[in-house]
Amino acid sequence: MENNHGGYGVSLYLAVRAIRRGNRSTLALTILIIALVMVLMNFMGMIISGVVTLYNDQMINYQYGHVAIEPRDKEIVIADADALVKRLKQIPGIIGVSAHTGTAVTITNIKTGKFQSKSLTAFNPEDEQSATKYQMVITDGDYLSKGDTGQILIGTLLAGNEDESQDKMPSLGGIKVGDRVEVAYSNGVVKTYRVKGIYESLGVLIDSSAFVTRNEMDSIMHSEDTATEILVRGASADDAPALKYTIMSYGVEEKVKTWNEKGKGIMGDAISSFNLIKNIMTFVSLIVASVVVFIVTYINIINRKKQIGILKAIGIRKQIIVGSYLIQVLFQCVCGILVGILMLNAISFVLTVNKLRFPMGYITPVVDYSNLAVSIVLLCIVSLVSGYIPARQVVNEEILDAMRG
Amino acid sequence: MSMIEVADLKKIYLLGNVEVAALREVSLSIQKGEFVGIMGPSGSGKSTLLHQLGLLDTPTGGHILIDGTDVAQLDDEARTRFRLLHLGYVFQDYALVSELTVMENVAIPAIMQGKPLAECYVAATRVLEKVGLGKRLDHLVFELSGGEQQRVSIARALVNTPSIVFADEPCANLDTENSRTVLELFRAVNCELGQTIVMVSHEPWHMEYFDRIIFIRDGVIDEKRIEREG
Repeated sequence: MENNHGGYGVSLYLAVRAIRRGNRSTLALTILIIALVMVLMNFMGMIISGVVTLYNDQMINYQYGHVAIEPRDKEIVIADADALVKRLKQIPGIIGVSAHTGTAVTITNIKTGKFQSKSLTAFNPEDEQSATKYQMVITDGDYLSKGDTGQILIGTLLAGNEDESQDKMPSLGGIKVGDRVEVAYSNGVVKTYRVKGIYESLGVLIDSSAFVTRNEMDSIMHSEDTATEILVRGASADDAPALKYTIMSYGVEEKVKTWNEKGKGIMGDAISSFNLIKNIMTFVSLIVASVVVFIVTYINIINRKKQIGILKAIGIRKQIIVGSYLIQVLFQCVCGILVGILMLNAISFVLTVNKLRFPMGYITPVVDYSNLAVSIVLLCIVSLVSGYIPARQVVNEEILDAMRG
Repeated sequence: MSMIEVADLKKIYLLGNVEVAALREVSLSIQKGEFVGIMGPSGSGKSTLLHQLGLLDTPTGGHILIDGTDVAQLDDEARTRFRLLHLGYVFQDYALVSELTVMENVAIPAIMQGKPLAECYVAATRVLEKVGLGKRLDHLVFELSGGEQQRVSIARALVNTPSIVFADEPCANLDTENSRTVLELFRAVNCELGQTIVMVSHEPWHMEYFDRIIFIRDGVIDEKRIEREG
């Protein structure tokens, strides 16, 4: 080791030996505390990211696909929808396309007389399987088939319970597969349907909907070759913006929106609120971290006050001594961060295997790496500042005062 | 030739609002190569004097010239550097760094000078062999007896071959046998290397080792020269 007259190599020399031969219990405790602060700073973010991911997945898998095509301005429906669906299916990168036709209806439970005004959506069941995941969340009965008429698919929240107190929102009062419901269309047609299947996605808006086949809807509303919305599924959620521009480049003149653009508004506000809570948690955790690191470093330095006096007496510069403590603090901080990351991954693994059930669905915690990077940088800065202040304070004491301990 | 020249040195401590004069206009001169003892009763100001001479404390007034340098003119950084390069210290309680081995404790002042580590360890080993601890290099200091720890402290004071070694009651915690070993070590260093040694003691039998004794009482010097036999 070459030192240029008391260079920081001496700080490293002293720090390495203090770490190797110092009190292991204190070192382990300090590392554990920093690790727990690291977990505290990121755990809430993990859960919130999990919630946001769940919301996003629900939007993609049940409501909008990756890209949603809407009628042009001042138009209510997409005309020539079948041709557009055909064209869309030929665009590279598109995995599934499904045209939706929605209309306002009143659905009545024939058995109890309970009714709800809802939007009834029609789709081609085969197309829908490539664009959404309703067929995977059927909890009772069966999914719709292409030729089905007189059959309806109902969400679990709309179906409801016989005991109203168990309902999360107004329902039809306990519809089961095989029951009959009466649907009153806006054009005056009233038709009775057999409930073919009940699905449950755990999304509140999603599970309070109902579906029939396009053939069924066309026969009543004469909506042939039109759609109120076309859902498009691509390779991944991240590629949605690129997919949107690809679709537009193919001359589609309808409004093309990504799932993210569609999800703004209420969902955007909810996510912003979650992020605000996350930032407050991070800020509070940082204050806790700085106080803890300050106290631990302060106690550590006070306990070694005499040694600092000795080092000053034999001619070691203040900066070298402070530097040695900063290296020790940085070492503790880095170890704490690494242990914290291990703990976060362990928590994430446990909660991935044993998923947390939230009201909107099962949450898989997601490690937010940008948040993790920010917390690492902030924790390092806070540790260095919290280490510097007491170290500087003690090295500025008179040599003889410090040597008295 | 004077190694240390002190003129009108004063040190006043403030205890609340009360001023306590620990040194009252002390003037003295110590020659290069002298082994000087500072003696006096408890609370007489002998340690205070040593601390001012060794730049471990700042005097209230007066001048200290060490090897021609007016140390009062030095700022904190320069005083630190001056201590490192020109002065060595041996303290009553050994003042060793517990997390360093015997060799590292001795080598650290040399490392601070910017010398290559290997060279510092060679120098430390050499001086530790001189004080009889050549076989304890890799021990931690708490593994040594009090007498051995004090010899490590002496080795650390000598490793940079300073012009002056200050020793503040280095035998206070040692038995007679170990005290004699330490004093003989100082005597040998003083004779072989010609280093100036200033040592505080309150043991009358230590007087036989000193070239000269500076007696101090109530912060005032009562000087008396002792000629070494032979």
